[in-house]
Amino acid sequence: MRRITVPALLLAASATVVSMLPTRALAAKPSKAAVHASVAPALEIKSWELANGLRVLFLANHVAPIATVQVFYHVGSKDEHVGIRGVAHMFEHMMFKGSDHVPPEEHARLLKEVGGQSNAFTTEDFTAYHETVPPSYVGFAMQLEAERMRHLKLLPSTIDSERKVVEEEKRLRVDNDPIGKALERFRLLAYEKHPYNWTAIGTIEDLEKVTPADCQKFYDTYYQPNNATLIVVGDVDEAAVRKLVEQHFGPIPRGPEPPRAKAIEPPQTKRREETLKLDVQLPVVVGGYHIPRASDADVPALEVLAAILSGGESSRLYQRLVRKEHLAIAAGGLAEVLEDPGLFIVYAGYLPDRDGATVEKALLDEIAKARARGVTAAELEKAKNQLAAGFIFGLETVDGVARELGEYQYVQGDWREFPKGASRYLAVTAADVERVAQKYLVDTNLTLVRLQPDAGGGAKK
Amino acid sequence: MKRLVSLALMMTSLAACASHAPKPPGSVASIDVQYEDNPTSPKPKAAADEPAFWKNKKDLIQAPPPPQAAALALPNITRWKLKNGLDVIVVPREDLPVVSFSVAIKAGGYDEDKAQSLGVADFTAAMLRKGTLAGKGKKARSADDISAAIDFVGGGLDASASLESTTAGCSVLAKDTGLCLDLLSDILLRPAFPESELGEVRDEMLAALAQRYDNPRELAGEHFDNLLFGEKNPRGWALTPEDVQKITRDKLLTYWKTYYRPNNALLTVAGDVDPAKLRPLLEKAFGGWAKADVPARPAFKMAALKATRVLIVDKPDLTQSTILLGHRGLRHADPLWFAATLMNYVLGGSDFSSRLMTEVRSKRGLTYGVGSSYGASLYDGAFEVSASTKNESVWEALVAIVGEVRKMKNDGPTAAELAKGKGYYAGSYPFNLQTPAGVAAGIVEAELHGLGIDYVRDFTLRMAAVDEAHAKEAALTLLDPDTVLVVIVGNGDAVEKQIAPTGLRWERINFKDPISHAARAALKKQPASP
Repeated sequence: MRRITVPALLLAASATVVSMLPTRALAAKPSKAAVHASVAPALEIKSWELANGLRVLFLANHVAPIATVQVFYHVGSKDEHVGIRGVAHMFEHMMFKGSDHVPPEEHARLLKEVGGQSNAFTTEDFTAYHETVPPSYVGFAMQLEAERMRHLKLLPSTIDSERKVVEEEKRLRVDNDPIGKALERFRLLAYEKHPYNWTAIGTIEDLEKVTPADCQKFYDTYYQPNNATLIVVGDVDEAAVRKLVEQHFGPIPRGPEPPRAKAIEPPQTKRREETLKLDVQLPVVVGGYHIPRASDADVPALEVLAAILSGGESSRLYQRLVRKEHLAIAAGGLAEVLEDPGLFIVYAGYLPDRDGATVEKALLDEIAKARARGVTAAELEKAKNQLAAGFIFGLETVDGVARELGEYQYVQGDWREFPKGASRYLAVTAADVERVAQKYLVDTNLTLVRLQPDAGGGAKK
Repeated sequence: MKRLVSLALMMTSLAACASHAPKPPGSVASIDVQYEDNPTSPKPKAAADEPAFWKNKKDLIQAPPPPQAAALALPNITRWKLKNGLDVIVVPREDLPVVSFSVAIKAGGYDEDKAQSLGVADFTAAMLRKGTLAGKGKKARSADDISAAIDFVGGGLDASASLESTTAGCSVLAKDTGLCLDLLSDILLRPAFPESELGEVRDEMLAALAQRYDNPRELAGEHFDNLLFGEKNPRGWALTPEDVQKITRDKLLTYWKTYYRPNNALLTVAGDVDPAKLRPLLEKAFGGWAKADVPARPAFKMAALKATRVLIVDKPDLTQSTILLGHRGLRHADPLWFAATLMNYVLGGSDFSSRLMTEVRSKRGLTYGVGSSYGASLYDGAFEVSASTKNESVWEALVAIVGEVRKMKNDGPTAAELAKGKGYYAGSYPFNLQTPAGVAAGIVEAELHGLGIDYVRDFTLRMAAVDEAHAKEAALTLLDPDTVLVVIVGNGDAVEKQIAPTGLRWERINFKDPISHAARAALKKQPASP
């Protein structure tokens, strides 16, 4: 089954907690991140702004007859509040349900007819729509995106049928997936005030209540050219792109400036923990520490630390929990960097015959070691090599590059950080890594969720 | 809503299902439903609620003319054979300093012995990274040495087996080409299979087996394959923890010695390389790999379905059911493969453009996703429809799905639908050119299936050559809505209530019951344990 949307948390989960499931191929893949100045090709990204405030980013790439058109809107689940949790994601679905000149679902069908692929996903911080097309249809993809930027037709009947689809998606991704359930619970525990308290998939309780008026208000508030970035990467030239952008998006008037979520999560003062008993085959322990927002100067050192803890089978967590003590099947961590303060996640998944307390102790002991003794020069160099190589591997596809640009624009706050990359990590020292470990990875800042098999679950025996 | 089950196909030979047999003899054997022709009874939801706003609207956006099929402009591919028979294919790309090497060995799950060595192909592949022996001018490497080396350069090194083949690959920045070749040849030519490393791989495989129970789609797939392909076809074999426990170091060594041979393998190099400089490097890395005769595979049989049957796999905590429905498919090299694939594009292979998605998701809102596929396999594969829907809507979804399959069989796709499918392939197939590893993977698949590089080059032309008559023939001869296998993983009580009254042959099991139906039957013969 093809996926239509990917809420960010679960996307992150698929890169971490879900991929801890024993898929060997995934575990060995290089991680993505910044650029190594010495080997990365220079990226000549062009940027301009239309009179209506639409930011445009363009990168030519003539390797293959392919181009991608992506529109990122600066709105996600953190712009929701209790009562409309899930509306950003539901809205993403509505963007396929018809506009003045495009009947429901025709957007995707029209693009398929010309060899294109289209999809969308919603995160906490932004919502992205993407089309990948043969280069001569870039203008057509823009025409369709411009159409639904301001001409959506929000009918009660389509809202109702799509609500059912979104509920099925939640059943699929969260309710019927123990990892999905655990992560939902984890967020609820880790955040008290900030809307990262819920994930982009939202709650069925709130979705049931979303009205056409809620949808219309959401649309008029956030789906405006001055709240969007259009990204084009591929086998097209700049002059043609400039002309097409002006033709399709130029006539759209500027909208009011959208409000920004202002909730501030109070500092955590003591450890939070919970044990979930579910009908799950492999127990999991997930820990998370609050870390600063993506644009903070401490983030690169935290990403380096994540690579040292979990980059490949030589990493600290894998070595300790899987290789040396044979406690876990998989163990790792990542800096879940978000626009507002995110989480540094560590996890281990293990066979039910192992002792959960021992697994947890070993996991937290490795964090304590990083705090107490820092990291070695060799580990630091390895982490930087991994981050640099991962960035270059990420340049292989036009979709990948466009997506990174959009994420940098709205999560880091500036797309220009993306092509710079290397310096972010090259400047990180062992002392920096030790310092951020001591500052953030402390027990009073930890939320811990244990997912354990429920002995009385659905199994016969 | 009142529904009548139609007597579409009477099957007097219909056997009662294994454990629950509530159906009278002579009941229906196919999934179908007719609605009472009564103006007061509600119409199926499908007919309702099509918003009128867009009807007769004259200013709708139309698609521009579709792209035309053309031979793929492949990069300058070089191909040669080493003296030991290793086939080499190089796909260059110079703008990005990355390179990947991939060795495909023409052996996998199809070459296992069900009683003796089920799982050995995967186990062997997973052990490759766990240590190597010393060779001429080369030191032995431990598992940790190998991880440290590849991790230090930020590269990837892994191996895994499928039914048809086993792949070992390495990806690095171009500057690390030497290391990559060194590691890859070491793990393939000189694996040590250390006894001390078996436990970790065994744990990992056991965890993967346990994990199936948390993944309804995967669990449904295992049951579907077991029932469709049967116990005489490796695709029907379900790996068990007992199989994994039986694998010894000797079995790994034997499997490796038998099948890991250069004359049974294909090496692809993709990315930033100079083929001329590569020749001596490959000779040095793989020239010492000794060739040997490799045993031929037996011909695998696929049992035919005799009647529609439904397997309900009960997992009480599920709020949503995962449905797999299908029957025999065809092999990749079948003359009808292109016609079948294009026909399936229309039926369920094209997301929102497909008839299934339109009917089951867009009109009825029953599912987040529904699709169908034929796959591309060396031997006869499966035609498979997959969908998920809340437990209470299973029957409604099944009826909608089978209705579409039946309509497709009877009438085939329309010329307009086929034209849209051809436009899709003509435009999107060349996207594969953007990564050399993607091109290489396409070529390897074509080679393994006996189709050759021409297949990749001419793919869109061959798709464009499918005419309406071919597509109709494919639909008529390949689809069989009256004889399907249905596997439903969901809440058994909720699903059973819907299936039992239909008269179809059905069976309900617990999700932890053995996946092999033969193993379940054997258990039943034994007296129940106290």
